[in-house]
Amino acid sequence: MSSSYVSRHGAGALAALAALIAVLVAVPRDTASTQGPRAVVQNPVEAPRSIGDVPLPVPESRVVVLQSTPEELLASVIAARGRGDLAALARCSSTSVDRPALDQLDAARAERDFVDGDEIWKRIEAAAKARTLRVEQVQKAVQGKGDPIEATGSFVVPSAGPRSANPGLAELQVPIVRIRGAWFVRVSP
Amino acid sequence: MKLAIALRVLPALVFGFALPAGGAGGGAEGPAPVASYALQFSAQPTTVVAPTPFSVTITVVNTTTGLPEAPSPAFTITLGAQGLGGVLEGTTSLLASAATTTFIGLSYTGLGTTSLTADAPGVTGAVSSPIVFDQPFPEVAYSVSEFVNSQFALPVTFKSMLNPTQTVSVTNLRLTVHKRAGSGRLKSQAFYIANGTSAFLPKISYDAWDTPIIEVATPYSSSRGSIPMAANLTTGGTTLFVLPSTTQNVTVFVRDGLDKPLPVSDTFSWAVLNGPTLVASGAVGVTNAPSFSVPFPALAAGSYTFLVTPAVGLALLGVPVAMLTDYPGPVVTLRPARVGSPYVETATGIVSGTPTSYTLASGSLPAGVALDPVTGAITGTPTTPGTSRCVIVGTVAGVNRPMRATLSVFSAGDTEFVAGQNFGFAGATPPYTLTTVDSSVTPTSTFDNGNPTFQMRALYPTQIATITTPMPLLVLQHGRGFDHTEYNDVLGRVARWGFVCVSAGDFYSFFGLNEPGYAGTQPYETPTQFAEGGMESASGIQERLIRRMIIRNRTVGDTFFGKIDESRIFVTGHSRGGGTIHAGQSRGFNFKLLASPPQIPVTETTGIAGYIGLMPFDLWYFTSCQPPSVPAVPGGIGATPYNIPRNLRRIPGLIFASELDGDLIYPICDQMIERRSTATCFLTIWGGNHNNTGDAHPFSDASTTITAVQQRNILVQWITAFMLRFGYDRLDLEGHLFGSEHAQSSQVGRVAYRDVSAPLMVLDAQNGNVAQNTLSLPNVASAGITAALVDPYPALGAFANATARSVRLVFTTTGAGKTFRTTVSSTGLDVQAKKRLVFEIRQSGTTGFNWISIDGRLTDINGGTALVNIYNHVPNPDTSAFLPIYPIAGHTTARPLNRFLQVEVPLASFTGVDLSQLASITFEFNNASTTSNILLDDVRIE
Repeated sequence: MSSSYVSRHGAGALAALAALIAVLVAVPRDTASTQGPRAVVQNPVEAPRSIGDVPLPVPESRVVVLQSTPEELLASVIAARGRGDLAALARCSSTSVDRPALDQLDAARAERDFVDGDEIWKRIEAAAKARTLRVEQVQKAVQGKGDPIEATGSFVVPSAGPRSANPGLAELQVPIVRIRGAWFVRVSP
Repeated sequence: MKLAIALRVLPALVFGFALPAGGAGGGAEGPAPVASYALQFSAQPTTVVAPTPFSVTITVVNTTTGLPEAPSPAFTITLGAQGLGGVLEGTTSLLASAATTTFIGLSYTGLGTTSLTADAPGVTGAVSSPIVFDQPFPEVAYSVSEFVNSQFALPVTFKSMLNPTQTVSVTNLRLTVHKRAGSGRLKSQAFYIANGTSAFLPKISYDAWDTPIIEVATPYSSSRGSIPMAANLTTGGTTLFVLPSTTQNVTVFVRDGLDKPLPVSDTFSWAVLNGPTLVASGAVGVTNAPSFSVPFPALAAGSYTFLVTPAVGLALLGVPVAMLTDYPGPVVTLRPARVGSPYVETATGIVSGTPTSYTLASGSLPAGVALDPVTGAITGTPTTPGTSRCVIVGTVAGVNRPMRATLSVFSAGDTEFVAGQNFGFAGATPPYTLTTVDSSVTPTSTFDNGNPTFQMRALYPTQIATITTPMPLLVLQHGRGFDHTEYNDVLGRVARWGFVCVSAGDFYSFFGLNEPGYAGTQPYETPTQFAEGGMESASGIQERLIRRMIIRNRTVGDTFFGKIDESRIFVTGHSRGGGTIHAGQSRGFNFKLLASPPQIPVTETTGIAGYIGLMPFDLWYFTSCQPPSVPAVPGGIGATPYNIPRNLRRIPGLIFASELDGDLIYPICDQMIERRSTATCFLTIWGGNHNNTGDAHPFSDASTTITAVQQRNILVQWITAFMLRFGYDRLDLEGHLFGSEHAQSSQVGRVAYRDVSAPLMVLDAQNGNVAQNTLSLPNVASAGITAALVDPYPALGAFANATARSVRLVFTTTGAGKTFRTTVSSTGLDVQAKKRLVFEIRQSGTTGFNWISIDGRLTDINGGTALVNIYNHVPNPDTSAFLPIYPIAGHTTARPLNRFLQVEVPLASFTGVDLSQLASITFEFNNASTTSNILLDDVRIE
C-alpha cells in the first residue's frame, strides 16, 4: 500500500528532509510494562459518528504521503504543514481502510492535531534539525479498531534540561503506529 | 442536687381579747327606738378562710313580744369583732328597717377564733357564736433545679395557717412571686386564684446561673425556697468525636435553657473514664465566657466517657467519646447554595469506603438544609445567607471517618458579590507587610522514604504576632528548572493579604540523589524514567512540609503557633510542580501526626482545602503511577502502583494557563477543568508565558503583549481572590471568581464552574453520544449542519490519555438558518430559580469568530420562544454581544482564539419564554462557512 503513496513531485525533497533527521532507533522493548495500564475513553458502540447532514467530502491531497518509515512519515508531516494541506495531514493519521474517503470531520481533526498543535510540531521540527530527535520503535502486534497495529513507536524530543534556555520544557513524545507497513501518527478520535 | 427548703412565715397570733360585759359595743349611733329591741345573730359562719368573704344576718327582736319585728323607727346596726387585733372589713353598718338585716361581703384580717358583735343605739346588742378565722399558706413544691432562662412552673397547695396539715379552699386569692436572693432577674406575672385548694403558677424564669431564693406570697403569708439554676454543657453533639493518640482541645459550650450561649464564671472539673476507671482528669477556670477548652489527653483508641462538672454552678456533661481515625479527615467544599433555591448535594464519595451512616459530629449545616443519616444526602432549601463549617462523620464498618465540610449560602440575588476589588495591581493596599525566612528541613518523603535536606522559604505577614485569626497556609512546589526562591513576587504579595506561604526547595524529586553532594541516578526525569514518580515524590515531600507546618502550628513558642488554620491548607505548584499538587490529590494527604511513616492508602482522601495550578502539568498524562525501581524502598509507598483518578477532588481549584505555552501545558490544563468535582476556575493569561511566573527568571520567555510584571500582577490578583474566598469564606469574592465580572476581561480568558445549588447540566459531551445530551434527551442538528463528538485538543503524545469531548459543528452549506438544538425536557422544566445560561464555545480557525453570527434561543413546552444574540460577525469585533472577545492592546495579528470561551447569558434576557416550562435550548448560526467549524460544550443552566 505504501508504494502507491510515492509522490512524483515531492519524493526527492522529502528524502532530503528525511536525511536531516537524526534517528536513534532504540532497542525494542515493551514500554507498556513500565508505563502501567492506560485508560482510554471510547465512544459507546451504539453512538453515531455524527448527526444532521452527512459531512461534505474532502478531496485527497494531490501530494502522495510517504510513510514507509517513521522518518518518511515525519518528513511528510513537516511538508504538509508547510503547504497547509489538511487532506495530506489527515492521511498522516488515518488509513484508507479506516477512512476510505475524507470528509470535513477528517479535515477538522487534522487541523486540530497538526495546526492547533503548532507548538508541538515546531519542537519536533527543531529537534529534527538539531539532530536531537529520537525515534523509538516497539515491535508489537496490537489489534486496533479495524486496523491491525504491527508496531508502535514515538517521536521523542528530549527535555531541554533543567539548566537550559527553556527549562520548563519536558520530554515530548508523539506516538506513532505501523499499520500494514505504513506509519501513522497516533491520535485520539 | 440540692433540695428546696420551704419556709413557712407565720404572722403573730394574738388571742384573749375579752368581750365587754353586757355586750354593748361602742360606735353605733342613731335615734333611740320607741320600742325595746334586742339584736340576735340569726345566721353566721363557723369558719372563714381569708380572703373568702362571708356574711352574717342580724334579727331584731321585740323584747316585749319576744318576736322578730321591724324596728320603728329604723336604726343602724353596726358590726364589730372581738379581739385578735384584726380588722373587720366590708359594709359593717346597715340601717335596719326590717326584722332581719344581712351583712354580705365581710372579711376579717385577724387569725384565730373570735366572735362578732352587733350593736345599735338604745338596743341590746348581740355576740355571735365563735368563728374560726383562718388564712391560706402557700405550700410550694420548689423545683430541684431549673435551666437558666427557661420557663418553669411552681405548684402551690393552700394549707391552713391554723392547722398546717389541713388543706383549705381559697376564693379570690392573689399570689405574687418574688426573688429574695440571687444575682439575676426573676420574671413572673401576678396570679389570681378564683377558687380552689391548689394552683399552678406558670411562666416563671430566672436569668442567672446561681441559686436564687424565690418567694411565693399571699397577702397574709409567703413561702420561700431555693431553686438551683442549671446550664447545659455540650460539645456540639450527642457523641464527642476526638482523635486517638493526639492531645487536642475539646470545646465545651455553656448554653442556657433556650440553647443560647451563657457566659459563666466557674471552675469546671473534667474527667475521662474508661468504664469505671478514671484515666485522666483536670480543671479549667472560666471567667465570664460561654465556652471553654478542655485539653483532651492523647489516649489510645477505645471506649471512654467524658464528664464535666462545675465547682459552684449546676451543670453536668456526660458524653460518650468516639475515637476517630488518627487524622482529622478530608476538607470538602460542598457546592454553594442559594437562598430559596432547592439544594442538592451529598456527603458520599469523600471518605474511604462506603459509609452506612452519616452523623453531623460538630458544627452545623445552614438553616433549611439537612443531612440524611442513611444516604448522606444534603438537601433542603436554605433560608439564610452565610457560611457554615461542620464535621460530618461517615461510619464504615464501625470505623468513624470524619470530613470537614464547608457550605456557603448566597442570597437569592447574589447580593454578596462586590465587584472591582484590587489585590494585585497598582493601588492595591494589602493590610500587612512581608517577612521572609529561610530554613533548612529534612523531610522524609511519604512516597519513597527519601529524606533529602533542602531549604524552605516561608513568607508571611510581619504582624503575625498580633494576628489572632488563624491564617490559611499555601505551599508551593516550584517548576522544573526553577528555584524555590524565584516565586517571591507572587507568594510575597499574596502573603501580605493574610496568608502563610511556604516554598519548598525540593530538588530531590527532580534529580534524585544525583544532585551535587549526593550519589545516585536520576530516577524522576523523563516519562520513561518515571517522571510521574517525580511528581509523586514531590507530593510526598509537600505532604511532609505541610505536616511540619501543622506541628509548628501546635508548638508553643513557635512563630506559627496557633497562626495557621489547619482546615484551610492550599497547595500550589508551577509547571511540573503543578503535577505535584495533582499527585497530592491522587494520593490523598491525610496529615497523620504519627511518628512512624504512615502507609497512605491510595483511596484515602485529601486534607487540603484547595489547589492552585500555575501552568500545571496534568498528571492524567500518565493515567497511572508506576513506582520507581530506583530507589526502591521495600514497603515504601512507591512500591504500590495505582491508577490516577480521573476526577479531581471535591475541593475548589484555580488553574492558570499561559496563552503562549505551546506543548507542555496547553491544552492540558483546559482538560483539568473538565474533570473538576466542585467550583473551579480556569484562566488563560492572554499573552502570558510559562517562565514569567517566576521572578525575573533568566530564561523568561519573550512576550509581545504583556510584561512579566503584568503577568505576575494577574497571578497575585486571582490567587489572592481565590485564597480569600475559600480561605476566609469571603462570599463577596464569589463574583470575582465565578460571576460575570470578568467575562469580558482583557487580561484573562475565563472558564469557571460555580456549581451553585443544583446546577442543571444539559449537554456535557463527555457522555459520549452526540445524539443524546447529558439528560439522555435528543440533540437535533438541522439541515446544513453536522454535529459530531470530538476531542477538542491536539491528541498527540500521551496527552491523548486525557481524552476530552466536545461537540464539533461542521457546516455543509453556507449562509443562515443552521441550528443545533438540545432538549431540556419533554414535559417542561421549571428553571425560574436559576440565573444564567452558560456554555463553552470555540471556533476552529485562527481568525476568531468574525466569520459567523450566533444566537441562543430558549423554547418552552407551549412553543413560547425567546432569542438572544450571542455574537454578530459584523461589526468585528462585536463588543455588544455576550461572546467574550478579549481585546488586548498590542496584538497586531489575528488572535488564535483556539481556546474555549465561556458565554454567560442572564435568563432574564430571554423575554417571552415561560421559564417554568422550559423545553429546549437552540443555537442558531448565520453566515456559516464550510471551511470553519464550531466547538460547543458544557451547556448548563445555573
